[in-house]
Amino acid sequence: MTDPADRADPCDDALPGPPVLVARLDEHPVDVAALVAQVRRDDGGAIVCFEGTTRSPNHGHEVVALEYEAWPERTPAQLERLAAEVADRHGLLGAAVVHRTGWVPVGATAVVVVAVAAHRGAAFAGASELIDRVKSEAWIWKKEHRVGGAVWVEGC
Amino acid sequence: MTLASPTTTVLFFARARELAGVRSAELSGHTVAEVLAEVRTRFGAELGELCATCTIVVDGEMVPAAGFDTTAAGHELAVLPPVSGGAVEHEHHRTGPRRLRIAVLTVSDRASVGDYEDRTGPAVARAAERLLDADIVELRVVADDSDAITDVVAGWCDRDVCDVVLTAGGTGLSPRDVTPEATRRLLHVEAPGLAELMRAEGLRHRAMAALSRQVAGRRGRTVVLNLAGSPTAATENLEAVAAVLPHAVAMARSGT
Repeated sequence: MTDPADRADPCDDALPGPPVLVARLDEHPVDVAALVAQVRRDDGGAIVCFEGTTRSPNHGHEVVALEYEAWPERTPAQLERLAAEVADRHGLLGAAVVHRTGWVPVGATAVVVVAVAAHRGAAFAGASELIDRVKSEAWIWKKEHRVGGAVWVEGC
Repeated sequence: MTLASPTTTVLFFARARELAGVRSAELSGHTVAEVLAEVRTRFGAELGELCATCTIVVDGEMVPAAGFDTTAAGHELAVLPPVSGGAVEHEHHRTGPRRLRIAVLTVSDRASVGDYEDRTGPAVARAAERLLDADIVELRVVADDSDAITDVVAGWCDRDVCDVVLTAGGTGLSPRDVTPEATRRLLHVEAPGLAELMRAEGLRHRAMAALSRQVAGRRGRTVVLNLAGSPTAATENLEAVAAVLPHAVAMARSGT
């Protein structure tokens, strides 16, 4: 673990407060600008926002929509823990993750990750790690509705 | 005499939920291993196989395979399939007749420009999967524009991308509601009975259904139905015709 003192920006006058965290499931399209507004702060000079969208074609299949299923009682707390851990590891000032549930048509946004840091290096690294961990750890399942059938996509 | 153990509430997600056919079940068995054996007995070998790859969570805590001798009875046991971080795919193996291919077109000015989310299209798609075991092959949104509607629907019919086109919205009395006229323009034959069936079912729920001008019919080998614009009314429309739709498709495709 990194000592918090090592992370402090020598240019800053004071240590930052605890990170602002937003983590939730949403059955409706995500207002990305509003989400960024929730976590942006004056001491964060770098904001990285990642959107994962429904892609078609995907591995040669024509995709109609992705359908996401989560565990409404437990997945949100898991997302919050992931955001908190990534924020801690990268010294983020803010971190947000919002994942859609239900049907997400081609081109629409399925997941949004935002990382806010004093400087861009930590913001890029934090956003990248957060989306990687959400995809590999969060209890969210994806069914790909394709022309010709539907498939649950299960991974590592 | 032994006392009966309390049951375990077993939660299923994603493919496990589909294989079980339920979201949750009360199962007997004292340990995690016994409950999972009961899952296999009750719901079949395919779910049993899947369970072997699943994460097992008891009251919010992951239980590794080495811990399957711990008590599950009286607790909540969740069966969590692998999440989508990787790329293993499980095709739905199908037997029997080919499934209906359904294309869904939401007609809405505001949804077409992103003013609000199209909730009706996905609701119709879900209902079609549930009621007809159909494959959804298209899910699109267009504005309340007669030419746009005709282009998309006639294109789907003529390229034979689907057996049924379901439109949703634009069937009311506002000057912007042009879906019935656009549909009538492209149909080769009308099937008024289907529209009457949908309206009749709608009238059982609300008098406003009388304002729906929806039409139905066939273009080439494809059955085309106008559904109402709200997720609830559109779903009810589809429920009303679900029993006759497979036969309508069979007739529309006969001789091909």
